[in-house]
Amino acid sequence: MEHLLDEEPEKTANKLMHADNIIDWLLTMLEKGNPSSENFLSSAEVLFALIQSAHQVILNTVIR
Amino acid sequence: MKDYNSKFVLSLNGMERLLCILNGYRKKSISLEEEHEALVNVLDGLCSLLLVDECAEQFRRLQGFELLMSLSKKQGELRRHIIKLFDYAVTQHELPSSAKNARYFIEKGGLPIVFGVFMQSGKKKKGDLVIKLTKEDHEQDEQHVLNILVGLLI
Repeated sequence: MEHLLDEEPEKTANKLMHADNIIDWLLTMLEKGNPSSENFLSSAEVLFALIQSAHQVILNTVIR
Repeated sequence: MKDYNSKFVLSLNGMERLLCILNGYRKKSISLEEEHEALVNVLDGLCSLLLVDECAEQFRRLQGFELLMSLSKKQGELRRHIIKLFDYAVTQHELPSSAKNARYFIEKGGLPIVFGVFMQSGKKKKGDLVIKLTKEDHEQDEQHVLNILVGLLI
């Protein structure tokens, strides 16, 4: 997912906007997951990439 | 797409949940570098959210400033990332909530934290995670502190 966000941030972020369950799952992983597990860090990275891409799309829209 | 960040905050309670994750670290320490990195990602995610007005408003209402001020005292290794977040919270002059956030930041005692970083104060406790910083990191920190000060003056 991180790769997709890097390659096609706008398209992926747009699609993920309709995927509440995935976002909810990432947040739950951070709330209840084990901080020493690799998945904890991966969830945080994907969530950050997602929020940042959503912002990038806003900037692109404003510039256009 | 502006809607996305608003949606994340409003219908998924994203801001509240991210702040709750950070809240847990007021009482426990960060022992692993991966854990530290995950929290940095959470803080950076909050920075991106703060670029949208209703999110910045929500951040203040949810007492995000108080939480992060408290966290910066207890988790020294996160302080520079918290300062970055304060930079985002008080210097977005195009957002109506930015001026309110700046006033709130001062009222809640944010200045000592900012000046503390500027003076590079803060003692390392035994067992604290040691994160090596480069010259560029220090320059970025100074830049964030200066941005906050300029933001508060404007």
